[in-house]
Amino acid sequence: MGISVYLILTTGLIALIFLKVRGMVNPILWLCILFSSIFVGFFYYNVYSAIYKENVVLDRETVFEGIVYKDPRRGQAHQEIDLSLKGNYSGTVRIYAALYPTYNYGDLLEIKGTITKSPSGLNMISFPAMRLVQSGEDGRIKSFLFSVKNRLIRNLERVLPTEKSAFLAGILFGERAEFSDDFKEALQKSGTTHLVALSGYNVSIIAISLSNVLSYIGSRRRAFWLSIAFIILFVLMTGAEESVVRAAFMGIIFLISERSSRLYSFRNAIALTAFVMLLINPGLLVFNVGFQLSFAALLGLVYLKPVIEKFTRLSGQKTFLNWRENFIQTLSAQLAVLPVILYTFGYFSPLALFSNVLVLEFMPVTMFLGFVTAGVGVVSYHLSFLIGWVTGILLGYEIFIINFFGAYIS
Amino acid sequence: MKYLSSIFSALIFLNIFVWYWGITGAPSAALNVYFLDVGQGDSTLTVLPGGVKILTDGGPDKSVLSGLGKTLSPTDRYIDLVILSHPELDHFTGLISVLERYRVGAFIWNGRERDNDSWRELQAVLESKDVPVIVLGDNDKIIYKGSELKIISPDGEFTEDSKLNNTSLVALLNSGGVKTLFTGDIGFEVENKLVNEYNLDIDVLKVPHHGSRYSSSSAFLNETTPLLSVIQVGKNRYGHPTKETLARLAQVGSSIYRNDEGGLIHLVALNGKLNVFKRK
Repeated sequence: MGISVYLILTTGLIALIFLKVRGMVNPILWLCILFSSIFVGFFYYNVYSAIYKENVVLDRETVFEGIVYKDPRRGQAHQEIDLSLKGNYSGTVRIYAALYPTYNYGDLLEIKGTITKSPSGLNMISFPAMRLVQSGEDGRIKSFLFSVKNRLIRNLERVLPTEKSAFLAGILFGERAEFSDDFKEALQKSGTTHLVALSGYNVSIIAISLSNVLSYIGSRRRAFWLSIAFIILFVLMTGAEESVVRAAFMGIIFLISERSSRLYSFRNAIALTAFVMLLINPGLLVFNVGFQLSFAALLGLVYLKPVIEKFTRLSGQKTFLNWRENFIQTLSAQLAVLPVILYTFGYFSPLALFSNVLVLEFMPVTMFLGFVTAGVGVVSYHLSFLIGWVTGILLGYEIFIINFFGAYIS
Repeated sequence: MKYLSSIFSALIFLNIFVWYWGITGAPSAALNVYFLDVGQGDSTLTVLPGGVKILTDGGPDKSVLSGLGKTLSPTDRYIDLVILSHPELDHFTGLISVLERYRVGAFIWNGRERDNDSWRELQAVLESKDVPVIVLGDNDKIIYKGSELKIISPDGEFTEDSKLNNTSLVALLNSGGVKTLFTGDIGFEVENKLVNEYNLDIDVLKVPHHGSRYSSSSAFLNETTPLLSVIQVGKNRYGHPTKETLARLAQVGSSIYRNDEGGLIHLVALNGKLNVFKRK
């Protein structure tokens, strides 16, 4: 990857204006720090990619082995398996395979076929000859967590029609494999994809209700550790997507600061989270849309929202469905992610404001009932069925709104 | 006070639930046949007058689930009978997910074994869910109230046929004052035999083998004279439904309904009167 001089100069210029406006003393010193950190980052990225260089044979039939390193996604007509190569090769390959037999996280597979590069730079292989060499080759804890998650999702599938169970699995665990193409399009057009992408929003709802419940039952000390443990388990369970990791990391910082009675600074928490995540994988910053969207949305909520509130004088009043709060929240997040969305997807959805205002207020209770439905299903099918019916009413409403704005209007 | 209001609202919900269940669960007096849009494959849900549900085949993937989601009431998680016409992927793959998610009364098939991963998966789920498995052949009958589902093929000879398609269970449904023939993927050979052995004057035909040119012979259609034919077909590379078959169907004056054009095809039959609805 080359380094763009113009990009750096533009960054410098913006930083300079910002520093002037804020009245910082010694702007040159700050600029030097900025530039040197850009160069250190660039250097680090190159070292990183040299170490993790991939070695994959493309466009020619090969036989290779690898370990399934993510929970396979079982869709409507095929399963998607992510393989981390072993032996003579290194790197990752995405396999599109028939629905059956099913493979699991940690399986060691032998594959024979031709790998190709997708336009987005992904190594992929479609319906190759596959053989299970050995299962359980990787991470016992993760396999266990995935099996718990899949069990909970199966409980939902037993009591809800597939459209609703798929949507609920998206809200709760970020599982989107079973969405129909029509529904995915409706989500995009209505600007509600973030609901099923396990954004920070979902994680924060889980974290807050969890720590509330826990501190209600036990001591605060125990609640603190349990919350942190649960959040980490949840991140692992859902496959550690960037947005979840980000939200969980910040949530943990928040819990720690609350416990040690220090002031929680959003700016520092965001910077620290981004720094650690990029240290682990510097490629995220440029190549991962999930990372970009997640941080952009958060910055919007933290920095744009107060400005919009002041500007519109819309805050602090109780309204039907809490619509003003949700409206401003959606507006600030949407404005902040707009550049990323336009650049990557080429369009944006002005309907997002309406669909989100109508749906957001119901998400926490839907999530709560969804978890209860899935959890109770372990013990009693009939009780889970009953709670599932109530959850189903909410899900039906939300799906209706999504389809209404995503398919009928647009 | 706080608890009182939550208990009260829970009771209200429970009340609504019971009423809702009672009302939407009430069986219809008509025969409902839903030809589900599952792409290139077969899947039909038959709801007999009185409410017994029979799912014949499950299509090539999980799209049968959204078909069931559209046709069954949201609280309905039970299917009385699942029938597999013959063990080919475009007929049974979807049944695996149906068996995983719905409670099923019994599984009926033609007794012909297969040896592939998906088939083993199906056997495994039948076993783990403890679903009774029944093998049927010609002259077997399923009778419920005024409805009769009569299996007319395969006989001993065709069960062992080298062409798997010819082992398909063929079922004649006499219900709602209407005769419907489910044919699986049978070809000319089986059709000829059926024409010779039975008096097959029917009203509705599930066109055999997705409209292949090697099925629906003129002799068969002249004998059966279906008022209405449904072709379960989706995007495919075999050229289904073929021109020849469409022409032969048109020749006997049958109205043709196709899943690839009409989406879900829904038939309602009551006292010999037939209505057709299409739903995307």
